[in-house]
Amino acid sequence: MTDSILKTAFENIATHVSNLDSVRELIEDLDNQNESIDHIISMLERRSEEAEVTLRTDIRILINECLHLMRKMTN
Amino acid sequence: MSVPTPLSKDIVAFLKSKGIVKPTPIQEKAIPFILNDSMNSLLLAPTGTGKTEAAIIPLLSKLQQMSKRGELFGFYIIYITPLRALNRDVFKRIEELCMHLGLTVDVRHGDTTQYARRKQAIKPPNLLITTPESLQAILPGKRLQYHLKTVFAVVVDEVHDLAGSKRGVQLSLGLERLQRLVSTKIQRIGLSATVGNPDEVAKLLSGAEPIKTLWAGYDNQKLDLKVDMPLPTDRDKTLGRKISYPGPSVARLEEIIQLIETHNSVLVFTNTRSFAEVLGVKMRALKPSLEFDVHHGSLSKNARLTAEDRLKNGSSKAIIATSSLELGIDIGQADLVIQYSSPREVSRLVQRVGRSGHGVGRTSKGIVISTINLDDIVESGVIIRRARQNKVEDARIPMKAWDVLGHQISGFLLDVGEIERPELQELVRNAYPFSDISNSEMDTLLQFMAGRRLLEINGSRISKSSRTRMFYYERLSTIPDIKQVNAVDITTRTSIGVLDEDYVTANVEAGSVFVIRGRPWTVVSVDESSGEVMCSPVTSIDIDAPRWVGEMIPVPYEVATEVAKVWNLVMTKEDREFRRWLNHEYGVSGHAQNHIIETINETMDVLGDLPSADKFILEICGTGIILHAPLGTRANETLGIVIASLLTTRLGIGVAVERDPYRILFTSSEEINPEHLLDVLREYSANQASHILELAVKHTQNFASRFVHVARKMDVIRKEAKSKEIPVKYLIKSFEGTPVFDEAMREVLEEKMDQKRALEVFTRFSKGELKIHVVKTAKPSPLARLIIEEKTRFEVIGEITEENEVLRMMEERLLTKQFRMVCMAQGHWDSVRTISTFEETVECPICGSKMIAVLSISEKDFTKLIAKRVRGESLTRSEEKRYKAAVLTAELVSRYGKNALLVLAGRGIGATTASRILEPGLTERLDILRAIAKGELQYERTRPYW
Repeated sequence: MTDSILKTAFENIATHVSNLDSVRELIEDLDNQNESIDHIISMLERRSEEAEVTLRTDIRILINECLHLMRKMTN
Repeated sequence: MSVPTPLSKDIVAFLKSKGIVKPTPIQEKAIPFILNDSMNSLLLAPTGTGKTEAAIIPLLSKLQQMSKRGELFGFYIIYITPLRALNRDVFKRIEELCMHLGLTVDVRHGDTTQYARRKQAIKPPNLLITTPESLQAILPGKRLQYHLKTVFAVVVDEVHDLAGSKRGVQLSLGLERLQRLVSTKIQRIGLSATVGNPDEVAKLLSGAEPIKTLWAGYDNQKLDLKVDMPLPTDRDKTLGRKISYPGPSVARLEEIIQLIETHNSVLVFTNTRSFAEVLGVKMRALKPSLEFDVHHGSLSKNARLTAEDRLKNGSSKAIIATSSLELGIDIGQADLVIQYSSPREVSRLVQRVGRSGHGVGRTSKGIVISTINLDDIVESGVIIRRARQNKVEDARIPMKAWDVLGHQISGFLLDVGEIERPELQELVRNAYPFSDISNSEMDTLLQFMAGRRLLEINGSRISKSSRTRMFYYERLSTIPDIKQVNAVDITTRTSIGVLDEDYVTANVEAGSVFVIRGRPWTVVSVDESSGEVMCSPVTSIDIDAPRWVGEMIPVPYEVATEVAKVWNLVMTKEDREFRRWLNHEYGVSGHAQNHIIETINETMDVLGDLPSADKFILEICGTGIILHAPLGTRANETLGIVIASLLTTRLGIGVAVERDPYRILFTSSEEINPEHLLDVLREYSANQASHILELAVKHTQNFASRFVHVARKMDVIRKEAKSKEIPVKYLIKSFEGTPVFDEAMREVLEEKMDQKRALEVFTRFSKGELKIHVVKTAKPSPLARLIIEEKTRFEVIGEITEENEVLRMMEERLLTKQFRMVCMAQGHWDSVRTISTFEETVECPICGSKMIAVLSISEKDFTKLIAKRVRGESLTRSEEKRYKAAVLTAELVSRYGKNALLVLAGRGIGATTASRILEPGLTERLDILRAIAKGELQYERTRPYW
């Protein structure tokens, strides 16, 4: 489930991000950790704090998309 | 039944802290509606009644609720205004409330810095205030497109202003693109104070979705409007001589100054930018101590902001402005609006007067200062009456504008990469201006675009090409490209405004003087590469104001026909009753009433009847025919073109046509038989006339310039190509039957003409529903003089009664002209002289010869040329040409003396034209001056084609 949300979110936002490779690496890294989506979002938030400014926005976009998909699923 | 959602407590508390406890009528209606419904809406309420807040407060309340459910990231509300300056004002009005609610707001338009744009891409504001063009720029943006996905509401401010132009068409398609991107419903809210056709404007905003129109506050609107027509005193006439301005104009200026001095903050509106400049410079000459500024769209942003701020903080007492100040820019509290000469449209007066007494329950006070001219007075009165009844004109929405659709299709393709043809058609049809586009129309456009490699077609799939992006981004604005150059003050090196490139090419060279920002400037140099005009201030008062393109506002049919009704009532109503009624209904009193009654009575004496919408008068006077037809500017333009082309074809003689909203003047080198004109109306059907109109329009200059504009927008002409380099005739012929040609034709027919009303004349006349009364006059009737003599006036509309005064002013100008005078007999007399210093006969002070050449001062070496000829040496071709031209002027001087000098001093009048003007019988000074005025006018009209 987590895996599909993260992957779907990435597919949805891929055309809008500036640092495609970095975001892809990040997703692969997180994917391997088999954590819950909530945990993954908090990890993404931590990563975004350290990232340079354009990557930070890309991560924000990714988080946003994950939240959006989660809301869609619960509705 | 659901329980209505209240406004959030935070918002209510904030409004209370600002002392706002009672909503305005529109807020009372709109806030609960927007809070509880996601249906689209159009909010209509007078200027200054809080429409912005009526839309924004409930949306912010919704947004605040959303922020409680999760962190906000993206744009949520888009607020669109037609002007950058309005963006700034809206931002100031809502910034504090947004901060209070923990929401972010920012502005984005053409002047936004790259830094601010990057910041918005990284951290998008929750509420974005922007222009339609900037929305176009961000729609395909990679990052911004994602941020747009969260939009739930779009507010379009001053929607009527956009609706009447291609900007509105572009926005309607832009909203469909946004809707597709977001994929959930976007609530669209339009705001307007003045619109005659709310249902149609609502459709433009809402597309295929339902929309609710909410009206409020018009009952409480208080308007104090009147027409004033100052008459000149002897003092005005004397002052006029001092500042080179006709006495009646001085009288009006004096009245304006007096009104400014007795009010705190005054807006003076003129109909043209050039006249705003003239008024400014004359006002400064008459009252140098009066603090005021000039404000119009061709001034630099800085100059406009300074003018707005100076009025707001009380440093200046007035602004002389054009439509640049019509829309809701915050200039503080004006307590009077003066309109110089008829505003020509009701919506214009309503918008302009709405700038005073801003706010619920306050009275908007406006005075129309009319010239001593029947049309001007009655038209102003009729517009006042209609404004009081809120009968504003319809916004004329351009339907099926192919250049806009072509551009938006490229936008769709940038948004999505590729799209199936049926899906594209459905998207396009959702926008009201294209709701009935046919398959074949769509195919023609797509094929045209594919032919120019702006897209690719593979079966039913349409995809972008390598040129799509460039095509799209180079043409984000639908506003006509009038190339402009910067005018720079050489002393401070700051921009003082922009001038039209055409004006600069034709009129500006080192040493020429023109007016901008209400002050005269002399041109020091024109920079060859950048085109910048370097200027320094001067103190002269005899000057040119720059001309700007597209200035004359058409008078609508409804206004023109009511004007004719008023004329007719002079004859049917009892005098006292008529005067009382004029005052009460039309705000016309005193001298203005007398002028109406006298002119109409005089007209009745000459014509024996008065024109109306159902009864025209055909006045035959000399070789000219005047068709008195009060149908408005557009219908008369159309009717004039059709009749003139039919007469030209039938009679084989050239028939020229002039029109105003009330009459059409046909002139020819030969006498036109009125029966021929009546035959034309009788024998041709409306359909035939329509066909002839298209044929005739194709050959007009107006069509050519529209064609060039559309061709630039549709990638046929390079954007940077200079007008002079374009083979227009060839292009028109080659592109006939393509969307470029069709769009140019649509523009001319829809925007400049009124086909329906003009062609109805043919049908109505044939059926006997329209009568035409034929009258032959020895000299033009007072109504005919309004069109014959208006053309020689200094102002937009001037006074016929003061014709002598106007001509005398012109004579003064001509007499100050300097020429180099050279004796052709020997070349021994070479002197630069002012015309006024000559006697009636001009002769060489050395040998007494009357063969004196009249040359430009710069022709210093002309005597050398005479010497060369005297020596028997052969002249080069160019020398021969100069010599012949000089001989021609000398012949004129020997024959006509000083009168020849006067004629040659006319603007644009060379020796050949002068020889045509100077007939032996022409001896009366006024007749000569009239002929010069006509020659100058001819030059002005034909100058663009030289």
